[in-house]
Amino acid sequence: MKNKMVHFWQKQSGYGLVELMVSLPILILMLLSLSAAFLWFLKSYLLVFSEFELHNQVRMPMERIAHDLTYADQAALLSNGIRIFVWNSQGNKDWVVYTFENSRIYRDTQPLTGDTRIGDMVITKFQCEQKEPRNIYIEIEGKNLTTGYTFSLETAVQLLDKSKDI
Amino acid sequence: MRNEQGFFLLETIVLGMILLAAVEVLGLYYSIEYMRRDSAAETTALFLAQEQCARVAAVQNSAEILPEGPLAWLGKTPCPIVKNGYSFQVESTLSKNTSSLNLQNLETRVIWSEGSKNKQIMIQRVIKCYEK
Repeated sequence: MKNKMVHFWQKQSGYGLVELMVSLPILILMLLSLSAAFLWFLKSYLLVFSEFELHNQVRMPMERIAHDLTYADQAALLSNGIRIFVWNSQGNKDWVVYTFENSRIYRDTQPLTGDTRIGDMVITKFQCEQKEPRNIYIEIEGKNLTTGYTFSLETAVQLLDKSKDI
Repeated sequence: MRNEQGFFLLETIVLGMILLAAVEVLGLYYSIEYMRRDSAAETTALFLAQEQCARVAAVQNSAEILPEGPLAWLGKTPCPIVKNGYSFQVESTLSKNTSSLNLQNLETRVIWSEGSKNKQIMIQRVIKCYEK
């Protein structure tokens, strides 16, 4: 048994220089390909996430404006936004102003869009129109400057007419 | 080297794991991409449905009243509405509300295609119909 073991170890000669010279570049090539594929996946994953973020950046102000308009008493269109008159919790008439400045949408002085580390995003369009007497049409469009992806939403809200309450 | 006979088990397992990881990663990427497209389409459809409801409510509040039955899209952009890479079809139906003569039920469906599948969302609203 002992003789057999010695014989086995003596037969092992290890890798030769030529084998090493061939296998090392192959190994490096394989590792580089794997890292490149992994980095490509990470980049694509982040880009998709930045597009998700653009959806949020457009959807969030749209929901806020639609929500405020739903409970509004009156609304007035401004050159760069909309002023919405609402009743506050104390029962007094109050208003909120949504404005479009420097590629961002503001609610009063608070920016609703723009702050994100995932991608470079801007709001390219914020349009409010009044077609019918109490019907407000809103359109918001945003662009992801990193990917060039554009996302837009449009909706309309009918203001309550308290004088016609049933 | 002459004693080598095909792949060892260990080599096969390592290669298999690398391939499996690559397939998983690609699968994950495509599922996220699908979710992104799906979320874009659903959000757009929901706001379009709300727009149609508001438009119908505006007409029912004006001098002319829409009759009960199927309604066309009343929005600004022509139907089918092409937005965010999808084509949306909006269908609405106005019907009587049994609890009050001044109320009507509005059902709005927004339909779009995702590959070979047709998808839709539906919202229901009760709207006021004022007497003239």
